[in-house]
Amino acid sequence: MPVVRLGLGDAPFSVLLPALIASGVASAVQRGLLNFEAVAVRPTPLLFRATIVGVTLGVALIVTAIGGVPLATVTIRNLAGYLGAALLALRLVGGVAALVVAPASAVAASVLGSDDSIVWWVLHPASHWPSTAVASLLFLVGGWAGTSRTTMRARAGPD
Amino acid sequence: MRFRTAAWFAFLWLTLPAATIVGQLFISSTFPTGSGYGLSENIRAYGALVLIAPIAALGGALTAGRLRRSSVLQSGPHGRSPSRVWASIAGSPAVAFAVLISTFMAATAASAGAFPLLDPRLAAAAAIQSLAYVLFGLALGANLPAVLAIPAALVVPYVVIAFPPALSTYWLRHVTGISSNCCWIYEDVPQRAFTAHLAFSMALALAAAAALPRWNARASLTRAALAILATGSLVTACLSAQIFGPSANEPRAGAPYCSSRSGVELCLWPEHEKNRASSEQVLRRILGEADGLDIPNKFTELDPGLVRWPTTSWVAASGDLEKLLSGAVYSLSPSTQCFRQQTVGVETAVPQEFPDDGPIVRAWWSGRLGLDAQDSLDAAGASDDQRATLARIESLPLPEQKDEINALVRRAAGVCSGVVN
Repeated sequence: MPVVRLGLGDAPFSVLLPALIASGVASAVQRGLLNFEAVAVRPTPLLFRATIVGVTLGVALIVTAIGGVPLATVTIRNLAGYLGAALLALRLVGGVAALVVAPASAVAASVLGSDDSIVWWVLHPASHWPSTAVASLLFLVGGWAGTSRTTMRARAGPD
Repeated sequence: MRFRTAAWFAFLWLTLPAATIVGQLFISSTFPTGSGYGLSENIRAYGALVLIAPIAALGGALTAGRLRRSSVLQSGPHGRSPSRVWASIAGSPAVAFAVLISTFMAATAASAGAFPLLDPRLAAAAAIQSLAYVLFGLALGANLPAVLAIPAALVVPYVVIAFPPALSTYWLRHVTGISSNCCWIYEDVPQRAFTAHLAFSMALALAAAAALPRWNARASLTRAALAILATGSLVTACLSAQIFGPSANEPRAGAPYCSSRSGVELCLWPEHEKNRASSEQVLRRILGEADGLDIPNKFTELDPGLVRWPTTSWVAASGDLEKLLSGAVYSLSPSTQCFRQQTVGVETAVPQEFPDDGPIVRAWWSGRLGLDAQDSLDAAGASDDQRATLARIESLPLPEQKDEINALVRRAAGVCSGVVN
């Protein structure tokens, strides 16, 4: 019989909520006058990256206050991974993909995932270091590529 | 590009292949019920809605989002009624998703060798669910910015379908879906459960339709009418499902077909008729060993809770002789419940851990039928006392062994009011 693997418990906080936040951040970095920001003297990519790190830390504080350190660790790992994936999709595919990728990953992992494969890294416990490595890699690569001036110019479109 | 053509392209060709892939992934990640019963296989495939519904809603949100950004919804495609425009956008994808889910259901039943291939009630439910989630996505995309509409289109259908079965409010799961606990071959989904699910799907579709932008003079009236109908459907759904517990299954209509060709009456459902010859072969083997033993006079696939000794239950889901023999061992003795009640008394609550004589009888029969008696004892978690009792019985001459087994069976069957298995 079909069994949805993700029950209630902490899952809404650790798997679904970070995906929604990541979508919001991916949308936020597409807003504004990107064609001007892309050529601005001020370090816009750095400001974007600082904002993303700030959001991640802010969520970490809130979830720690609500659910304690173990839940916060998984939530932050997943948020970082989702953010990286969304920003990477923004760079490689486009704006809609950036909004879709995180919630689609969360739903797919919730239904199809199992804790015996690294593909479903969002479902692993906090102590599972390969999942942390995947999320960190996504966060670094996606965070760098998705907030670069090249991406801003691409998202701004022709003048 | 024509309005309808644009909608078709954005919607269908982007989302249908994705839905096909994830639906197939879902089905391949679940196990066949092995019962050969079309309804249970159909319900297994129907569960793929948990992934297909978000994709249908996403397609709707993307399409309506494009229309929203192009301002066509604000200015209004003059000369066309909004209902016709939305029907033309939502209709074909809804049909496509319904056909996709129905195909999954039929293919799953066919690959499991089950029939009927497609339950028409589930096909209807799939059609209304598809329409509901496509309209839901359209309503999100038409009213909300993409940053809210797209994540909501993916997450809300998943939450609506997947979370109620995890809640302790049991009846809710029969509203938002068809219970995955359905069904053994002797069970069916009650009409009332289908009514609840269909009414909820209709309520969702009507509520989403009410939320779609409209640009004609009767917009408010139409919205009000749709909202009232949605509320009525939702109330109907809740009232219909409120009587259900975790499982809503009811006994299946009709009766299995009976035949006495093997020397004892054997009643099988049509789906298992193909395994009748194997079952009869096993029964003939049992009869060959049964001289001087009390064995049931009728083996049936009816609900085990409804059959009474000397009738007993039988499972012919497989034609494999080894599996049939293993199952037959359980049919040749009263149920564990009967043995436990016989041991501790009918009026006493039966502790699960209380040792009883059932494993001894089943292990003895396993030995007689060429199976491994020790495996049977191990599977039952038999105690040292039970193993010693079996060893003592097996050390006796065969007629005395049969007398001992008859005594155990008669005590259990008598005290337990004849309910078996």
